[in-house]
Amino acid sequence: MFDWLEPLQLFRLDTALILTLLVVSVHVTFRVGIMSLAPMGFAAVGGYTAALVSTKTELPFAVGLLAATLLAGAIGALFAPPVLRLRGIYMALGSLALAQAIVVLIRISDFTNGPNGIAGIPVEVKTEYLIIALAVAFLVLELGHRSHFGRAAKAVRLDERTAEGLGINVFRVRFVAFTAAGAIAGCAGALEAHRTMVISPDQYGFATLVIVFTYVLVGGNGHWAGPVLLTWGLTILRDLLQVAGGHWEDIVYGVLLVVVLLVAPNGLSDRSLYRGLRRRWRDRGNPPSPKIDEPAEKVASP
Amino acid sequence: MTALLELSGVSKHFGGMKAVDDVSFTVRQGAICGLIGPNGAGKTTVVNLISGYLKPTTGTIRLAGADVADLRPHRLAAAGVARTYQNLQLFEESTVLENVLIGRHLSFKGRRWQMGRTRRREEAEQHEVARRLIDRVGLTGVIDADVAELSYGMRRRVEIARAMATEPRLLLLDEPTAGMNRTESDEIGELIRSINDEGVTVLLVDHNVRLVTEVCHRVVVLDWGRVLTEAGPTEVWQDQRVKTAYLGTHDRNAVEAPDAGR
Amino acid sequence: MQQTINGLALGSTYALLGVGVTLVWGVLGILNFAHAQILTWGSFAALAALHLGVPVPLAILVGMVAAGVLSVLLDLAVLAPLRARKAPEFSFVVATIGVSLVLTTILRTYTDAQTEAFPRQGFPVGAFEVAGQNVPRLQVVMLAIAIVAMAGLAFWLNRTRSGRAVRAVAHNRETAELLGVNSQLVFSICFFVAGGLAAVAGIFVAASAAQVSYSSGDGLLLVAFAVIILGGMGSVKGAIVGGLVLGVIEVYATSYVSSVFREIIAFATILAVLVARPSGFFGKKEAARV
Repeated sequence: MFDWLEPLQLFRLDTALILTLLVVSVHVTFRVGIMSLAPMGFAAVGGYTAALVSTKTELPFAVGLLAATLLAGAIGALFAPPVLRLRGIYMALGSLALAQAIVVLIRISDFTNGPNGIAGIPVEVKTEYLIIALAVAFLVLELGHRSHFGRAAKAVRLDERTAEGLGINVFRVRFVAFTAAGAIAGCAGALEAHRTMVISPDQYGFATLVIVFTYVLVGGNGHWAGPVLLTWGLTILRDLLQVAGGHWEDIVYGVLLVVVLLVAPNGLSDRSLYRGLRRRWRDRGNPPSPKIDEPAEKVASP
Repeated sequence: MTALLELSGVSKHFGGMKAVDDVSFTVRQGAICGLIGPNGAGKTTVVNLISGYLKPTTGTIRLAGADVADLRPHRLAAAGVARTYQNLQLFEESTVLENVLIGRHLSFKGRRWQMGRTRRREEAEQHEVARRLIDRVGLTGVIDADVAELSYGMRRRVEIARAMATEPRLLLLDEPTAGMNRTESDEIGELIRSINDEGVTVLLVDHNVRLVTEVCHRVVVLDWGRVLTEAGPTEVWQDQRVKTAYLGTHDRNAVEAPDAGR
Repeated sequence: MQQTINGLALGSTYALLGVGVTLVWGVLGILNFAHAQILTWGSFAALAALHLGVPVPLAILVGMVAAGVLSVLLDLAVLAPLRARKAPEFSFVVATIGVSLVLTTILRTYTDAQTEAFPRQGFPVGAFEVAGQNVPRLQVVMLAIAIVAMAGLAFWLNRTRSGRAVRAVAHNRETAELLGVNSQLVFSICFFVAGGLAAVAGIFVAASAAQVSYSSGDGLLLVAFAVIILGGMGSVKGAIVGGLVLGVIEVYATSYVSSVFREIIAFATILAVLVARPSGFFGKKEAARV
């Protein structure tokens, strides 16, 4: 199906698709206001589970992939209660500590082959599989987005206390999201392991996290398509510009992330950003028109 | 008539401070009950206790006979308690319609996965309910405007519509006319009465003497976290203790004016 | 005895690291995820100075100033604009993570991802005998310098005008501004001090390992967070005590239990404290909101 692509392009396509899965994972947590730094920990769980299943047993790839997804999801579910009880910076710290705990345990354990990682993982991933996995993820996301669950998720993200007062079970919404995000990241990790053949504990660090955060934050919280399309767009762009790989790419992403936070703290699909632009567009040439109804305090002042 | 809400011996301490101290009162089914008192008397704390945002240090809170003191806010909402907030807690970047629809959360039958016609039909039904509520509070003209663009008075109405969207038995209104002029607050009074006519019990926290006198059936007066008195809406203002406590903070001639800084 | 000295020496570097992070958190409410990279840059600046033949004390000073300036630049270029926009807390986390990646990558490219030898000439070497025990000189000097640095910090915060301004801003920024305190200046001072102390810690770590690489600081970020969580976020005294305690525990655990323990201790501390006090030190803020 993708034979017409050159091997290098195919490799990059697969990279982008797996990255998209990670983007989806982070998007799911951000959507309900969970500021988690844990996704690379779940990816590590998935990657190592799949790698160990295929190198140490005779079981087929599909079993390893399923085990990786389920185990990452289970760890997500297990740690969701303590992590979700935390707020703000403490949630960021707690989730980072969780991710680091996973990575360090992998690095010091013998059965994961310590800091050297695992080599010789069979290449099983075909582009078609990745597309199927993503299609499933998109379908579920779109159904969630369109259902009332999507609206509740938004309310939880914007103001959990008020959402609670309107009858939304905030913990349940977040528990589902955190667990699902863990499973998706685990799946991405497993697919990545079966594509690159080699994994080591060091690859689950800040570098990938920054790239994923860039896509998710720039793409915005409105709809899953924002971050996903951005991931693909930037992948094509960097391919055209030939900056892919190389250290400078990381610098570009880091700078891009910071710039976006400064220009549009809520992402490029933020509604208030466009309301401001719309108003400016509407008012071009005219003196600024009053709001629908000026707040009372402003009317009172001369 | 029976009691819908029953507080007995409810206290809430923050560290050494007794924000609410041994408060007991009941709100009858179908009544509009006023809860008044000077700033810092503990009114909002009482509302937070009833709506589950805070847990009482001691005492019980009963809703239609069942102890609800330990329930989380979302469970209380499901049990029929809805509220507005003193300092407006709306989803500012969402439209009026979206805000009210979030209030419909509990009455969506399929709260998760629905597709095709079922989903569209339910969505249409819920939109219709939300539209009627918005119409009722007089905001049909701005139904698709973002809340952030609305005036203060309009936002208060959105909040009431959103609370009504949960189909409550008990509606807690925390200063719904704060910052409104006389016409606006009269309209809110009318709205509260019409909501009450449908059988919704109302607990109204407000400083607006006119509104409380005209709308409420009973008035509970709080001072220093305690119940000072409970009386009818006209008698309550005759009570010398109420005058001293409630008006004392504003009236310099009042005897033994309590510390205004509290 | 020797283990205790080793532990205290290690702990003093942890304390130096934690004090900077906690100072910035206490005054600005920002947790700097790029702090470890600032430490690494400081060590490399000192290394460059040593290569130029600069004597050790001066090289340390160069490292401190370089890291301090870098730290201030980070605040002015990235964090101050975010503050001006009243960006949500998580934006600061993500922004500093982004900066840390940029700083790491620049160093990695510059050093070709190689580990560089850190010359120990000029640093105190060898050991001397205390009560029949061999105590490495370097450790003792580290401990001494850390104590001097922290005493200086305590003096600055409690006894000087600018130190009092820092505490005033930490307590209530608006009130302090009304009283005529230039809060941006205070923030810059805090970032400078934090960066400088981190550089000292980084140079000691590099000197005791006799090497330094672009990723030297990476593992220390979680250590710094563990230190300040242990000592109470925002408390300078707490960070000092937390750092020393963590260092001693780590050394004892390494020698008596297993070296595996050393890697786990930092995040185990974070997780344990956060689980034990789930609302963290945040409970008050939440109660006040509704």
